[in-house]
Amino acid sequence: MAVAVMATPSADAYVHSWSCYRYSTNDCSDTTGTTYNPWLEVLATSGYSVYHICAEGVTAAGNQRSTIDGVICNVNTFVRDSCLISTSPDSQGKVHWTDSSYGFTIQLQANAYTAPSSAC
Amino acid sequence: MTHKKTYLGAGALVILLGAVVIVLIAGTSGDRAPDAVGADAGSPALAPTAALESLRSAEPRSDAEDAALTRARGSLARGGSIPVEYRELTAARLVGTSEGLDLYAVGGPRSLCVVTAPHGSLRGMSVGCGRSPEATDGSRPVGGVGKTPDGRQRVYFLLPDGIDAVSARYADGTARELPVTDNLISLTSEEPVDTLTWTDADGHRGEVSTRPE
Repeated sequence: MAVAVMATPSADAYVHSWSCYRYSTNDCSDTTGTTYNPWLEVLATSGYSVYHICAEGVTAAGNQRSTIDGVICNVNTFVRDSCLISTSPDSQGKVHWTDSSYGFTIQLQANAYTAPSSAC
Repeated sequence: MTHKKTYLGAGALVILLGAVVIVLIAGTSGDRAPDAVGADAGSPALAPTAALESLRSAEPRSDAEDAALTRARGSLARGGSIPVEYRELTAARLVGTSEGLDLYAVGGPRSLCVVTAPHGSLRGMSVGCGRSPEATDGSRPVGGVGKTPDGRQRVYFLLPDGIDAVSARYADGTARELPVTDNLISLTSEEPVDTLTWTDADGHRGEVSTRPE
C-alpha cells in the first residue's frame, strides 16, 4: 500500500524565495525580510547541471547547519534540496554553485521553508 | 566550346554538392538540444529509465520508494527555473544503503535524481537531480559528497550500466578498486577520495572529481 505524502509544503509553512545571477563562486544568500529563520528545508535550482550545486543554512555565528544526509552540495546536478536536521538554531538560507566550464552567468533560484515538504 | 561546357558542368556539380553538405550540417545541428550540457553528440540520448538497469526493473515500488519518488517530484515542481520537460519522474528504486543512509535512484524521460534518507525512514529525504543524457552516459554522473555523523567522507554516484567497478584515488596518493552495484558506487572513508575513474562496456574511460573546484 502506498504512503500518502504531501507534494507541497504544508499551508502553515513560512517560505522565502530569492534568486541571483552567478558567474563564478560567490554566495547567494537570502536577504529577503527577516534574515534568520527556523528553516528546515533549503532548495537550490539552476537552469543547467553544474559541477556542484549547494543549499544550506548558516547560523548567525557562521556555523553551517547539518543536513540529514551529511551533504550540502550535489555533483553534476541542477537541483539540490537539503533537509536540515532541526529548525534550531535559526539560520540564513544560502545557495551557491561552482563550475568553471561555464563562461556565462547562470540564474540560481532558491527557496527556504520552515515546515517540511513531502518526505523532508 | 566543349571545355566551356565541361567547366559549367563541374561548377554546377560543386554548387550541388555544397548545397547537400549545408543541408546535412543544418539537419545535424538542428537535432541537438541547445541545453544538452556536456552531452556527447555521438552517444545515444537514452532516458534514465532505459539507461539504468536498476530503474528498468518491473517490480512494484515499496512505500519508501513511493516516498522518494514523491519527494523528488516535489523538489522539481518547486524549482522555478526548471524547464517543464525535466520535471517528469516515473520510476524509483532503492539502490543501496551506506552507513545508515538509504540511497534511491529516481528517473524520468529527461532527469535522473538521487534521493537520500535515514535508513528505513520515509522522511528526512534530500534530493539531487541531473539531466539525461549526460547523467546516464557517464559524462556527468549524478552524485554527492559529504560527511557521516562521525566525520568521515561520504561519496555516492549513480553510474551507467556495464560498469562493475571504479578506481578510487585517495588524497594520500593510494588507489583502491571498489564494486558498483545496481548502478551505485558508495563509500565512506577516513581518507578523502579525490577522483573516481572507470571504464565502461565500450572501453571508454570516465572520471569524476569529488573535490571542490
